[in-house]
Amino acid sequence: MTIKSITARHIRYLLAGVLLLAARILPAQQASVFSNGFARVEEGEKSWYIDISGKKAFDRILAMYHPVTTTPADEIGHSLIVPDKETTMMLVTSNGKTGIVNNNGKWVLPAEYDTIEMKWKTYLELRRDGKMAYADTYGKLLLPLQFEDAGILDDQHFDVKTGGKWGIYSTAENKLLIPAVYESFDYCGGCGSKGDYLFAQQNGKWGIIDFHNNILIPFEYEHEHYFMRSDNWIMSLKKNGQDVAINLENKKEYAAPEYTDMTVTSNGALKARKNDKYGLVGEDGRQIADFIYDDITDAYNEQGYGPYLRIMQNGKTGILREDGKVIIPPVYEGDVVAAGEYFIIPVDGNYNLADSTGKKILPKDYTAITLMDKRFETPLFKLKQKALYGFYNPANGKIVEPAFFDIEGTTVTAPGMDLLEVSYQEMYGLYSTSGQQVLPMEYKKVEALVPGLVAVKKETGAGVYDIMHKKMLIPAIYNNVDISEADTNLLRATRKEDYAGVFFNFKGMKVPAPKEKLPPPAAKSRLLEKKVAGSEYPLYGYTDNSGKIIIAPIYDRLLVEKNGRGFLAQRGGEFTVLDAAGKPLSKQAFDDVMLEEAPGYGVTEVQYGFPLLCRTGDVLQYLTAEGTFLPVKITGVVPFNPYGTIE
Amino acid sequence: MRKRYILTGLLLTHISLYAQQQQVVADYLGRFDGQLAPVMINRQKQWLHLSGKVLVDKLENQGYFKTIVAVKHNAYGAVSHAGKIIAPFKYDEINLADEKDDRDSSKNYCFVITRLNGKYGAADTLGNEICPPIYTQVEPATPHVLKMKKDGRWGWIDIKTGKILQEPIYEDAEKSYVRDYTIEIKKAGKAGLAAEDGTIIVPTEYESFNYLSSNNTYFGFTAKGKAGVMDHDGRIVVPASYDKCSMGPGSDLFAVTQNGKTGIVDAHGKTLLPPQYTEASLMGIVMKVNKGGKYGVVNAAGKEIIPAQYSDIKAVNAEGREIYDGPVITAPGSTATPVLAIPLVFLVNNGTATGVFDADGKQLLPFAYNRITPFLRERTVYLEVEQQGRTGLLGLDGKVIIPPAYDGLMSGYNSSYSYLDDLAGENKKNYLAVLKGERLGLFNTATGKEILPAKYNWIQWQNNSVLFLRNGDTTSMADATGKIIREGKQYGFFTAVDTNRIVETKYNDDGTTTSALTDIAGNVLYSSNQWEFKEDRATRLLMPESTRRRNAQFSDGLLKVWGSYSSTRNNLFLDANGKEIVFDGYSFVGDFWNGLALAGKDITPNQTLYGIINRNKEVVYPITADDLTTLGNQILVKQGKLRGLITREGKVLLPVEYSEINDLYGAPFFKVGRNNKYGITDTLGRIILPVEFDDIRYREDNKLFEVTREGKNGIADATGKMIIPAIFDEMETNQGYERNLFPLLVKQGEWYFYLDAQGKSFPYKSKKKKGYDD
Repeated sequence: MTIKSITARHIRYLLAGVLLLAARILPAQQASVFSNGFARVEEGEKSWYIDISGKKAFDRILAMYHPVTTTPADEIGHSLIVPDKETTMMLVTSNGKTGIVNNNGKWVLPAEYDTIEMKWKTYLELRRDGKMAYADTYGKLLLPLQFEDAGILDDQHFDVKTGGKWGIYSTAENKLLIPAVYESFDYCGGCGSKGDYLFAQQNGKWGIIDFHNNILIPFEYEHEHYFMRSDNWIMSLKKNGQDVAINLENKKEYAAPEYTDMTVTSNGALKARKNDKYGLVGEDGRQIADFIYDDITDAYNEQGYGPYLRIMQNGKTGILREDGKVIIPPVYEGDVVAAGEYFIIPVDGNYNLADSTGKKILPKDYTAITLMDKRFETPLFKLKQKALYGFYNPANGKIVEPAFFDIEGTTVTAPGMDLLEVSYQEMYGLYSTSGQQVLPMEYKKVEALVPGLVAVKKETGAGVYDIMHKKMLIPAIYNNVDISEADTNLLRATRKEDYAGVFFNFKGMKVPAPKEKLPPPAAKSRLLEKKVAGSEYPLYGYTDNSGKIIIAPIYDRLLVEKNGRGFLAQRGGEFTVLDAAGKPLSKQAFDDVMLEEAPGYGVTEVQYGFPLLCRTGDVLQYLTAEGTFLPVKITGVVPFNPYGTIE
Repeated sequence: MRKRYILTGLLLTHISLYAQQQQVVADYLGRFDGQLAPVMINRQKQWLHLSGKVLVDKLENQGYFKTIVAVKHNAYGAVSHAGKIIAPFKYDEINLADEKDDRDSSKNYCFVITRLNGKYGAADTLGNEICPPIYTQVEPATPHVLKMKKDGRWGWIDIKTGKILQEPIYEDAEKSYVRDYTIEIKKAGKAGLAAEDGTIIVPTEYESFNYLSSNNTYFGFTAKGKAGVMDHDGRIVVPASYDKCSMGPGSDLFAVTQNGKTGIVDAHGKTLLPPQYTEASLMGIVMKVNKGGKYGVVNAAGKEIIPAQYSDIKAVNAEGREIYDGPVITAPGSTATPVLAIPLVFLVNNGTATGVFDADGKQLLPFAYNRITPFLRERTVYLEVEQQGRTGLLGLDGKVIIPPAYDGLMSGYNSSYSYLDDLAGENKKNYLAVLKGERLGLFNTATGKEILPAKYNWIQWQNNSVLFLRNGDTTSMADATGKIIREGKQYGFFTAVDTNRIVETKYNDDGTTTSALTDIAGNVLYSSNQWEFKEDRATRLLMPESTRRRNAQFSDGLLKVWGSYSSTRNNLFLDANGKEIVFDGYSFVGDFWNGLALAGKDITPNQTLYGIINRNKEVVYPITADDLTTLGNQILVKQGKLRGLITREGKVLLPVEYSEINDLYGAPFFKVGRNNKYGITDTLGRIILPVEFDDIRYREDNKLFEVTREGKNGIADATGKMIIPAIFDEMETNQGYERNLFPLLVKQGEWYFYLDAQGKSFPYKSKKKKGYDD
């Protein structure tokens, strides 16, 4: 929480900058500039806020915030909080009660609550006369203000306390879905998918009910908010202090001494140990793998995820599919690694690949096999033989035998193919992912130009190679070749002594140099500056975007309101407030105009809203957009929010 | 691959520099960047090792001891820092196994693990094969042995000799964390411990071992789910019959826990205190225990020296700090108990009252204090006590040092009050500032008397006899007994200029200043309104660095009288009796130090020359300089555009004949210049490099000078010896981050080649240096 101190920063005296009426005798009514539709009035010890009609609105601002919306949860249950920066809400008090106003000066929650607090940055907790409710940050009530206590399950469901017991309220049905008969509830709101059941406590023991109050698991357990899930595996209950895993589908309880070391795999199966061996039970309660393995682990490297699990038996490893089918029996020494629908298998200290039937697919073993990053639709495997790399494309079965120090992705593209950059002793070439050499490995540099064309550099110089036509388009005799800035459909080849260069089209034909294109000047409204003979300072006026002069150049300074509300014009020591058409709002000129943020030296744009606090001599008045004055008498300027607010 | 070999002697003129050897002519040579330099030979991009002996195609990895793994002939090999190929370029894979412990070099090792046809071996950095690639796995185990796997079983090998110390028979072998140079072994699922030579220390009969003490004397073990303790030799000292065992108080006792209760047993398994405590935590060599929510202390002998009946207990060591944890022994193998782990006293809370118990559990101070905190002074621990809201200071024996009559004892500085005792001298330790509200007083702990009441916000010893006091805008002075020697005076300015002399400065209404020299009794010995005394105004040129911050003082029996700026009496001093001493013949004489002073003579009304004179007005350094300034510990003489160097005693180090004399960024050298040529001297002005170079750059990290003479580059060492003669047209140092300048890439005539630190060239040369685009 930060306390934002809003003090003198918010009362800048425009230009004239004189501290007003310092010697004037108090009490007198003083007031601030309007901000977010309100201004603060101070009289002696008392202080309150008025709205733009000049009427009292509230006493004090407690906090300011931007309301938020949340994005729908993504597949792993994360959602983002998006603040609505256009809208500012002010938490205010009036006669000891709390409410909320927005920056249009409108009440979104009337000042009738004892407290209003922000919760989890997304909800408002409202309390009145010992009852509470929640509202969204725009002030919309999500449940009636009638419960002793309440918690949030999701936007539609709230656990509510009434008569000392807890029930579930549905916003959609506008009623108690589950009567208030329980001692406590728990629910996993943060689990990836929302559960359709609740943990509930009765007579000190916990059980599980659905949203229709049907008992799914009887009230026989202890519970703490650990290992919460929302699927069929209940891992957060204990029986007589002992860990249990319960399957909600078949209601079966897994517990010591028969079952130990219970965890749920990323595939949603229960992994447990029975008679010192591990097996798997599916979310539907079906036995997936018998209790015959020394271990069952994840089969993927860091970035991988999928339906396969690694099984270990007698020191050998194999692969099991999540439905229980053994894809590769445990016969390999060393870890089998799953990569998409293929498996990297260790063979006598080297590696080969197996497909999803478990069949070995490479004719020989390699010193290393890794899955290349997933930039391409079909997976590619890097093959290593001693210090050299090649690759294998399982889609067409093509093997490019190891002959490179490096194989990497490239920014070079060509129609109908995916490309890889290969290199050896810092000479570079290109291959298609289907295994064809596209550019021989004889260049110092290979860079993308346009699809199908690649800028190459060798000792003789830079040129362009046409991938589709398999030939040099521009011979490698230039200092540099790139896309012409003047015409992106042309290539520009430069020599050291000739920076202007020669131009080629994409077919390799020399063409004349393109003409530089200049965008036409856009019509724009702007300040008009008029030089005055004998004066070093010009006078200012304003032309609209059709070029028509709407303010004649007669002012020493002209400040334009950013949102088109009008102009502040200064001539001599006097200010005139002009409307958007450049016409004076009032006949009267002012000695000073107060702004929230004073314009710096040389600034021509300002931001303000009406009513605007203007000074003439000792008199301060609020000028409305209609050119009238609010019926408020002011003798001095005070800060809008001198106490600071909590954000 | 076609290579051209040329006899250098036939082509080059600098035969004397390097031995005639076969030279490879490269397409280009690049500057060294760490271990390697990029070179192009026969249009093949390669990398030259800094030994100059090995060319590789690609760097794969480099380790702590500058061993590199590289690629050549499309296979992996390894090269030592000395340039020896320790694993030939034939392997499928090579991994570095190394460890560098900055504090304990006995933990260091470095070797490479080789892989060929799916099997693993190892080689050391001298090039010896530790074991051929015949194992399914090889990994480092301890600094002395590597472990290898064969047929699913682990054994280990001596890294130094390659001898198999343990045949592969274990299911697992891991470095043990409970005992140094020990391997935890596993057989039939049970754990044991073996020495590096394979000797069994603990047979494979246990579930696990756990770390107990930092000095390796004992370790924990688990059998059938119960915990026990073994000694360093693997003998069971506490049988496995507890839920948990940890080190107890002292070095040979153990805290054993059963059913949530903790007791103490000794190294013979004998129960000294049966399990009874719900909580037990080490406070250095003793243990704080909790029974029924009340605390007591068990000492290193296993005796409950403070019964468990107090609300809290803190142990304080000889540095006055609270002891929280068990003793930490940092020196390997040390068994001595660190002194900071030994409690000096215990601060015991009984409800809201605090008392003090000694290290044997005897009550020293009754439960009569609201608060007691240790107070360290002059390396002695005292107790700051609070009684009825008043603070005092007691000795550990309970003797009252300062009675509890104050709001606090001063320690450190505060924005509203300061006690400055830097100049208090030997008796400094006898004085302690005391606080009442925000006001300071001074207490003499040797006499047990308050010497100054707490009414000041500034107390400062100006020397060992005079105290300067300030209270708001009123100042006064006291002697070391607290006797006021100058009564409080608003805007008064007193400065002690000696232990028995005070200068009083008065600012007169007409804008002038009157300063007076007085004795302690206040007798005015000298007074003048031409004297503008300021306590920080003094000539410090001749003072050594350590004393330059001192204020204006009598020195050599004289106090310089600084006049107003219009005054002509810049040669005036006072002796201790206030008698004027004038140094006739000099227009300026600065404060004396060590019997010498800066002296000036007006040559013309606009020019003064300076020199150094002694107390007898004799010239020590002639009055010839336009200016004298400090340069390091010496004095730089400026005379017109020329510079010279003298000592603070006036001895000439370098005659006034250089155009510049500068220090070299804090290095112990001066760079001297004359006629756009430069040389180097040491800080005593002795020539290291003669004044004949166009440019000299000092390489602090290497203690070497890069020099240029007549457009040619070379390198000199810190003694001035040219280790690379200045004969090269171009010279580029190694730009790796290891701060080694060598090998150099140099150009002589039309050829580029490399030179090592001995000036020996490598057998590669080229007419082209690697460019940005290559």
